[in-house]
Formats: sequence, C-alpha cells, structure tokens
Amino acid sequence: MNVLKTFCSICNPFSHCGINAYVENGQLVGVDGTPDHPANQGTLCAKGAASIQYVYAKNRLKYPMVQRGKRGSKNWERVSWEEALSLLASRLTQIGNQYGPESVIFFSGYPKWFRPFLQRLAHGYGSPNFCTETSNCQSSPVTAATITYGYSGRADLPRTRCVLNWSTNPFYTNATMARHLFDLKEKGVKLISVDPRVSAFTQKADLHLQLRPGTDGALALAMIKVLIDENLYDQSFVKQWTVGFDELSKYLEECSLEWAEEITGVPKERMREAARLYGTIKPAALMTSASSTTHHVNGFQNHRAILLLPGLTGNFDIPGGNWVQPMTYQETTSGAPTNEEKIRLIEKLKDLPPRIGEDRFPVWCHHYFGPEAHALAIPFQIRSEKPYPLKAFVGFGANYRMWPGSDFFLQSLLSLDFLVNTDIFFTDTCQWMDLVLPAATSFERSELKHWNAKYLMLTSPVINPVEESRSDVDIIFDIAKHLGLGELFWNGNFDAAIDELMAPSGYTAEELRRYPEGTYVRNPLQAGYKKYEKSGFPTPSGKMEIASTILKEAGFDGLPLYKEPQHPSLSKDPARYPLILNTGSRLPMFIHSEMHNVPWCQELRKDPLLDMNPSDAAERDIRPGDWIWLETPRGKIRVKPNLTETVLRGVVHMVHGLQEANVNLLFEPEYLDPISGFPGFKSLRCQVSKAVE
Amino acid sequence: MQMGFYLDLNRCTSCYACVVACKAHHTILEEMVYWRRVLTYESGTYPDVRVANISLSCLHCGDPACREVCPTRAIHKRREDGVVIVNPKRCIGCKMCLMACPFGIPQFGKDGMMQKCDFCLGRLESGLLPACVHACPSRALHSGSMDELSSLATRKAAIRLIRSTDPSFFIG
Repeated sequence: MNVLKTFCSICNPFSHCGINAYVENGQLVGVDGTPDHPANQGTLCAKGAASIQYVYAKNRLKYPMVQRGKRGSKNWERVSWEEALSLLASRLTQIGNQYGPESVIFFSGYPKWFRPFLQRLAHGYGSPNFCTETSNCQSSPVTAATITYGYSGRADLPRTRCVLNWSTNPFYTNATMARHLFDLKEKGVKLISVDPRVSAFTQKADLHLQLRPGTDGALALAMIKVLIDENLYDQSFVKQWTVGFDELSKYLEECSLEWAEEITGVPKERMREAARLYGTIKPAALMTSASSTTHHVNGFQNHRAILLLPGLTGNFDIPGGNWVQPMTYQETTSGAPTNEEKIRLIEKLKDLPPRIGEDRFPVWCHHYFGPEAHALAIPFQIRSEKPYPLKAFVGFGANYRMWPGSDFFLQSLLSLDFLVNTDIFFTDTCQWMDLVLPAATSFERSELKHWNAKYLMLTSPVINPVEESRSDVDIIFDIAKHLGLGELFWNGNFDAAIDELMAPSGYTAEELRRYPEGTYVRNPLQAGYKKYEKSGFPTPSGKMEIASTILKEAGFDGLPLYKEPQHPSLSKDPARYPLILNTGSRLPMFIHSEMHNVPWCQELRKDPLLDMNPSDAAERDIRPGDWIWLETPRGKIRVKPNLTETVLRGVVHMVHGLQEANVNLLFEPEYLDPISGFPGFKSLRCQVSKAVE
Repeated sequence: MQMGFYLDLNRCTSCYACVVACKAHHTILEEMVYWRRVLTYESGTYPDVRVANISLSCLHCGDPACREVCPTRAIHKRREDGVVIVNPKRCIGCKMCLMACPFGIPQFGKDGMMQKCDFCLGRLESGLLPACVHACPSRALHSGSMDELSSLATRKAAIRLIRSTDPSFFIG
C-alpha cells in the first residue's frame, strides 16, 4: 500500500485539506488528513473523511453521453470523447456563426479550480459570458467591500484580541478554522456572535446577538451609534480618511437603540455591550460570511453597514484587525504572485459585447473584481433576448437548483439550442442536458492550489481515473483544440500553462512537482499595514466611502440606510404568511447539493427537516415525525419538522440543496437585491401547516 | 497501562467528522451502525438555549460490564493497553452486553454479532492516532494513556480557571 499526497477539494477553496491517500493497485482504500499540511494539520471534516465513497459514488458519470430525443427522456447514448468533443465544437461553431459567440454561456459551479481556464475558453471563443456560482456567493460581500474601501480586509485571527463573527458558522463551513478559533478562545480572546440562530459557534461565543433575519443593517447602525455616542470611534481616522461621516451621523439621529431593538429583536443592552466590547478591545477583527448577510433583498446595504465597523474603530488594515493582503490566485492570499488575470484573458472583455446582467446589475458587474457575467440574470436575458439572444449553455458543475425559482431557471435553460454539463456525478441537472462529460475528482487529476497559509501544491493523480473521467482542465484544453484554439491553450500542455501562470513568482511546474506534499512559498509578498496612508484608498474619493460615490452615481442611496428585507409585492398577505423563512445554513456533512449521494454523510440526515420553534409547532398541532407543508406565495414543499429552540419563535430554517425538497423553488426569481442581484434566500414570509394525507 | 479517550466538551461542535472517519476507517457500510456517535442535547428556551455536544464511543472501561455478562467470553480486555475488544468468532449475538453497558455502546449489524470501537489497534501499531482523534477538526477529541489524558485535562481545566470564568477562588 502506498501513501500518496493530494488534497480534498469537496468544499470551498478557503479550506481544502491536505490528504494522505492510501492507495492499492491504483485504487483509493483510505484517507487521513496530512499531519503537516498547514491548512488542516491532519484534521478532516465529515465530508473529507468520506472521500472513498465520494470518489467511488454509485452515480459517478462514467463516460461522455449524448441524450437522443427529448431532453429529460433519459435516452442516453455512450459516445467516445472524440465524438463528444467534435459534437460540442461543431454546435458551438454553428451557434457562434449564426447568433454570435456571445450567445454561448460558460458557467462554473463547484469545484472552482479550473475557472481561470474556463474563462480563457469563453473569452478566447469570443463570449463575454463567463459566469460562476459567485453570482450567488462571495462576490456580493467582496463588492460591498470594494465600494467602501477599494479592497477587502480579512479578519487577521492569529493576532486579534476580539472576534466579531457576523453570521458565519466556520465550524461547519470552514472546518480548518475550528481548531484555531478554539485556541483563540482558550487564550482569552473575546468572541461576539451575530446570528439569527443558535449555532455551534454562537454556543461558544461570549456574547450572542440573535437578530431577526435580514435586519443586520439596523443592528450594525445601532452599534455604530453607540460607538459614536460614547466616543469609541477613531476620530483622527474618520477625519482624515473617510467621506460621509457627517451624513451618517445625521441619519443616525433618527436611529435610536429602541428603534433597532424593535426591528432586530435584540435587546438594546446587548447591542450596547457588543459595541463596547468591539469598540474597546484592540485589535478587533470582523468575520463576515459569503452569503448570510447578503442573501437578503436589502443585503448589499446591510453588509455595507457592517463593513463600516472596522474602519470607524481603527481596525482596518492593521495587525489583528481586518488586514488587506494581496490576492494572488483565485482569491487566496498565498503570497505567490501569478499571471491569473492574463490567463483569464480579462483584457479581451473590452472588445466583447456587454455581459449578461450588465444592464440589470451594473454596480455588481462593474465593481466585482471578477469580472464576470451575472449568473442570476441568465433566465431574464434568455426570455427577453435583450440585449441579444442566448442560445447555448456550457456548464462545469452546474446545478439549476442554485437559482431562486429553480424551475423558472430550468425552463429558461430548456429553451436554448444546446446544453452541455461537465460533472463528477450524474446529477439531476445532467438529466436535462444534450451532452454530459465526466470529470475527475481531485484524487484523479493534477491540480495547482494556493493556500492563504503561504503554501502551494501541484498535485499529480494518486489513483486511476474512474472509468473515462478526465481532469476539467484537460477537457477545457481539448474543447479549445476542437474549436481551433489549441495554440491559445499551450497545445494541451498543462504544465506549460502552470509555467506561464506561476512565472511572476519564479516557480515552474517541474519544480512544483518535486514537492508532492506541497511547499511553503519562497519570499512571499509582504502586505504591510495601513497601505492607504501611502496611496489613499482605491475608491473614487481616495477615502473610505461611508457614503458611496459609486452607489450614488448608480442611483442608489450613498449611505447604507436600513430598509426592511421584504419586497412589498411579495408580502401582500402578511396574515397568511406569518413566519419568516430563513434558508441555506450549512450542515457539516453536506455542502450545498453535494454529498447527498455519499451514504456516510447522507445517513446522518435522511429527512428533509425544517427547523422550527416548538411553540410555533404547537400552535399548528405539529409533532415530530409529521409531514408538513412549507409554503410561500410561490409554492410549497413537503418536509418534516425538527423542533428546536435554536431558531427564534416566528422563524423557520430550511437547508438548501435537497433534490426532493428544494427550498429554492419557494422564491420568486425576481426576489433579488437591486444592487447585487443576490436572492433573498434568508428571509421570506412563509406559512407551515400539517400535510393531511 | 490503560488507553482512553478524552473529549473536551468545550470544543466539540457536533460536526460528525469523528463519526464518518470511524465508519470510513473500519469500512462500516451498514446504516445506523456506529462505533462512534455524536449526540446533541438541547435545553432551555429563548434567550437561554443550551446545546451540549458529545462524541461517544466505547469507553474501554477498567471493569467492563459487558465482559462480565458475556456468556461466551467473547469480550476481552487487553492487558497491555486496556483496550476492550470483542471476538466475533465467540459472539453469539445474545445482546447481554448491550443490556449491561451503561452507555448503550454495543452495535449489531445484519450479521447479528456485537461490534464496537477497537481503539483503531491497527492504526496504533503503525504509529497513527485513532481515526476519530486524527480527524477531529476542533481538536476536541484526544486519545492516550490515562496518565497523559489526566494531565491534559488538568492543564485545560487550569487554563479555563484562569482565563474564562472569573472564579471566586483564591490561590495562596
């Protein structure tokens, strides 16, 4: 038996754990976390620990297949890679010639590692429409930070004295942080938590502000009011480095703590205590989520209000505060600079037609550093054909259940001329495609990965690929070749691509392959602190923009004024929908729609469970084990109650990603934040009732 | 020597990594057969809700009740490390051990024989920690000799005493 080094890429790239793979005759027989890998130091989460069942899952896609006859007819025919790619290339060429290459959408879900190359393919082919699941994830918080500061400052946890965790549960979303957070707590670092639910994290925090979903902005503003009233803010920073402070102070005159208590449900004493802790312990770091604050129709501005806290308290770009480090590759801060932007052919965008969503969500499209097309705007453009028609969809790990009103999205997609998806598994999205291509897992491919811990790994396959599955990047390179773009893709030579990508930091693929276990970055970039003192903030005013120039120019409020999270048109009948539906918090054994096909994970939670306060259940005569309807104005799904005090009375919580009980069906496709285009997944009016057999 | 586990309840998050690592390492494919489980207990009502998370496997007792009642002497406590193991060849599946165990540990799959945590003896021999301990992302779960665990627990208690609780306690 061999012990070979690789890493797990099941969850989000912020984590990704080093793996010791136990291999016999080219087959994976066991896994352990790699003890000396800096990301995980031997640990693994439930998902990674289940790697064998993930790699050898029953529903792995085994070979390329073409759907003959009607989509969804399950009339699949196995074809060779050559046939599959010739078909793909001829359809794209024909559609490109007839409607223009911009009519082809290139989309990436999970995993994310091949994205720079997929974007290169889209732009090289001539389509501006490369888009990803980030249209629904990290990009809204990142854009909110960009608009406010010009860049993002991440929580510098190792050196902080106080953590303000605004609605993340890192124990379930980034398990690699768990041991560090507990070490901080044991060192006496204060943990403050803002979360509408009692979570594994809030249980460990010193102070928990349990707010009504979607009222984050009011809570942040109330905390800012305390900081200003009690003179706990950094006056010299505010004077020299901000715009809009006076406007904000004036607005805050209307916002009393009683006002915020009424809106958020958080006792005002608690808000005051949180503001005082965060405002007096130095340094303090703000941790935010990719989704929980921005998955509201008022989420972008709510998130901006939260992001004012580090600046106002002098915690921005300092050690132990929210520290700005240069992003080097795929949003990591590995310290090893790359040619990522060049690889992505970003400069070509200026010569291409507008991206999907540029008309609807210009702030997001022009200020998310991606830059990408907005995936949530796809169904609207498919239907309107404005500003131009869309005709084909080339997905890698696409899942239609990601979209609010998933059926609306799927129906839109089905009106296109050609649909293809590359995936590890034969998912329910694949069932609707014309062509499916089998992708390899991280165990079966060669992949370059950067970690924030200043660490690099260029893996080699550690096991034989399952059937005919191939590395996503090999597939992309081969598609390019069939489209006549081979030269643009290093004539299929992956290591040549890595050489070009890594050139700025002086690594070659050959050298990286000499360190199968990975290597610490030589001479990592030094970020420094308070970089604004030298060059100002990279914002229109050169300052931290409490009142945003960009938002004002786009016709929105410059200040993050608080507005209620409900769309009036969708809350016409408040009596009929008295509960607040909060969705999408993670469970530790799943990530989105993934791992439900892995028995060791799936058996831990088999029923579609709705978290519900026992008093709300009692009012509806609902008991454990009952089948119940979860209903919104758009529809209903059948679920079972999980009676728990971890959700507030009047709030129910449903996990997302379930095939049989897809909660995203309950959201109107237009239920989006007007600035970011993000869906209001985390607050919508609903009702729950017993399902009568 | 007696080997054992130590769970720092303050650090357990109910993430199930230990549960899955255990099933994967021992290739337990049957549903609902768990050599290690995670239990979550909720108490109180808003705003004072408490949730306790406990990861639990065989405790390899010093004086195992299961061994006491086993009619075929299928359960054995190893002299060298105190690990309690079950010999499937001798087990007749009578479930006396399950009735005797105060913690409900013994598991029964389709073959009807008792199975449970063996402290990953195979891993210990190659210098690896038990699969559950190795995986635990919050480092809540530890294993070792009772002496080692006792001093670890004492050290952790001392840290908590000093750092967290503002104790009404004078040390002279």
